[in-house]
Amino acid sequence: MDTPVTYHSTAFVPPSGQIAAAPAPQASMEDILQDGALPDARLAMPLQVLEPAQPRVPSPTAVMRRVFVSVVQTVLPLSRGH
Amino acid sequence: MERTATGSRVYGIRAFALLSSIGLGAGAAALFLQFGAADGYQQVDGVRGALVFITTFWLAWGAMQSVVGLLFAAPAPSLRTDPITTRTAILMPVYNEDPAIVFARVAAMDEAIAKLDLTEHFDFAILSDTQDAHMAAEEERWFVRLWQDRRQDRRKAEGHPARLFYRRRTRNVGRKAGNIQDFFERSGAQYDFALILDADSLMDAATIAEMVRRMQAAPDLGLLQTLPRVTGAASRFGRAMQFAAGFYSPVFAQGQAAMQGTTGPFWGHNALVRVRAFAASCALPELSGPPPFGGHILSHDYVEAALLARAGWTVRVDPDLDGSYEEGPENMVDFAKRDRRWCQGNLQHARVFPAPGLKPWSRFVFFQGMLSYIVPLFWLLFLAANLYASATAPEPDFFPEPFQLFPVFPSDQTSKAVGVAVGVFGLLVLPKVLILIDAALRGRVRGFGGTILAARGLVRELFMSSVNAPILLMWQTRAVLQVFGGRDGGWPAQTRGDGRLTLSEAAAAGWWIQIWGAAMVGLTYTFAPELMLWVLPVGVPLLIAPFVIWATSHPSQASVFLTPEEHSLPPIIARHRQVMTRWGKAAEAVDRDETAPAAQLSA
Repeated sequence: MDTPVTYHSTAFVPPSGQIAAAPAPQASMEDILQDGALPDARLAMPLQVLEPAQPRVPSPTAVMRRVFVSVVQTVLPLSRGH
Repeated sequence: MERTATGSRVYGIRAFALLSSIGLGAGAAALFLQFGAADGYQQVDGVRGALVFITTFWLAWGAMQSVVGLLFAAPAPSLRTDPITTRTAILMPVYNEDPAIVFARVAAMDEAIAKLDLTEHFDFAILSDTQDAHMAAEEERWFVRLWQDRRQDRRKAEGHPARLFYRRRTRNVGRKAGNIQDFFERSGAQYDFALILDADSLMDAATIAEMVRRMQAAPDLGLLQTLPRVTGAASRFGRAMQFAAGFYSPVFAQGQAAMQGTTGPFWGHNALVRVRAFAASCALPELSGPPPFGGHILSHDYVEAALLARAGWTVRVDPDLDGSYEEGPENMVDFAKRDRRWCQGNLQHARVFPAPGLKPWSRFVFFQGMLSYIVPLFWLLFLAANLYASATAPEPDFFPEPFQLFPVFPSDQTSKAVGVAVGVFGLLVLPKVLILIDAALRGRVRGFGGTILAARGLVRELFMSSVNAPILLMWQTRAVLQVFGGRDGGWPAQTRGDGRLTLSEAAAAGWWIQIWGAAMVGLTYTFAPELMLWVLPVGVPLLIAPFVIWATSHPSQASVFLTPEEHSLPPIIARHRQVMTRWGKAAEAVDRDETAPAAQLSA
């Protein structure tokens, strides 16, 4: 972050046809990151309803899961990686 | 423009595919039962019959997608030329990726857009979720490089707003879906559309412009998905997948497109969304309970597609759109890691399946995703049930009736079992052969080196997938059991690079598969030696799993699995390489190019 970045713009031809010098050719990394920050144009995103609001009744899946855990952990190497 | 097949045609095609698949599954089960119950019906025969039905149905369903793709594909529309009047944000989410390579993709796409003189309609936003401080600092450094490269300073000096943005979240709430949502909430109101990419995505400017024109012309279109081509693969495994994705996937996607109606898929990237539709419909809540079934929705894309359709928007895949690219895993271990994530995401959809108001096809897609991960378990159960049935088969009773004078010999029903096996194999092979014939007739084989090279690629791919399938099946089974066991796979960063594994790395990944292979072959030899020939095609790959994992991670021969992108390098990929060269970060890529199959082939 704290390394200043020097860059040089070359002269360019504006639409009027006049040759103009590039503006001050130096900018720091902070300036560029600031210039490149996301534009502020907010948009609401309402959360979608995917499941009922009521707390879920414990399902047979939970029981099955416990059975699987005990059986499977004794049979397979269940490390996260490979 | 209305390209989406609707109404009775869609329902007719769905019914044709579904009933054909059910019929084939039922036929296979009936035939198998005649074989399995020849020595008297036992309960295990019923189980075996049911498993044959499910597994054959699943294979048939896959095959029917290709048949539908060949029979009912919509003709590709002519490209639109109407002016672009909208603004699109091109979103590049990154998570612990090499910033030089990723940001060079942005530069390449921006260059291509500038060539079409469309820069005023497109902005780029790099949305970083990188947590590693060193990588984050590198990202900032490379953003400055990108900024300079694309002359944003000059643009600002001319009084125009910037077109390249970089933002990093220090807390990656909601993972990729949360990352995209954060962008929409901060900056979405400035854009009509957003093109969602992955860090390894590359899209041609003409394709992007065509997508925008199609969305402009269809006000009810909420999401337009392309079929990305896999590129950049170098290993045997990666290139086999790249070939399969390039050669078969377009036909399968045509099949999907014909069946989906207005309820198409979202694969998470290389897709254009209508910002207001997405914002109004796709903010995902956390599911109650802990992962893997609760918490953030892992495979968010399928859910977002379903929610857009629920809100009345059309979601569509247009397989005719080329110029859309991504990269794939280079070895089986990376494939399995990605598959572990997808497995958890798809099984988690069981929680979204009953969500109110979803279209029936969306629910079916969730069911299909879940089934795709559970079916391997059924294959393993089928193997186990056969071993059990064979080991516990009753001795033949030659005199079933008292005082019977002549013996009754049980009829040999082996031919029926062979018939089922041939049928199952046919379901795997036939779609690919049909696709080859279709590609030869339409001239699509040219990009794959002609009919002979394409056929050779097909045969090799069949062989490789036959050897790889049992190994991948074991990984998939483990993944499913882990998820059912409540283990969260987390959010590991994608592995990029050449993916070459050492033998010890392969052994570390595959030793347990070998043990299962040895157990399977040993049990068969001990209890049901007559099944040995049936078990060996599965058992042998398992026994040599580390060797297969190792060998397939190494570079492939030049002329095998040629794809159109290797035949003729797409301009956008060439442009990306030019940018990397310009940025002085191309050493690796240049090395790789020099050994790349296309380079070897043309040498």
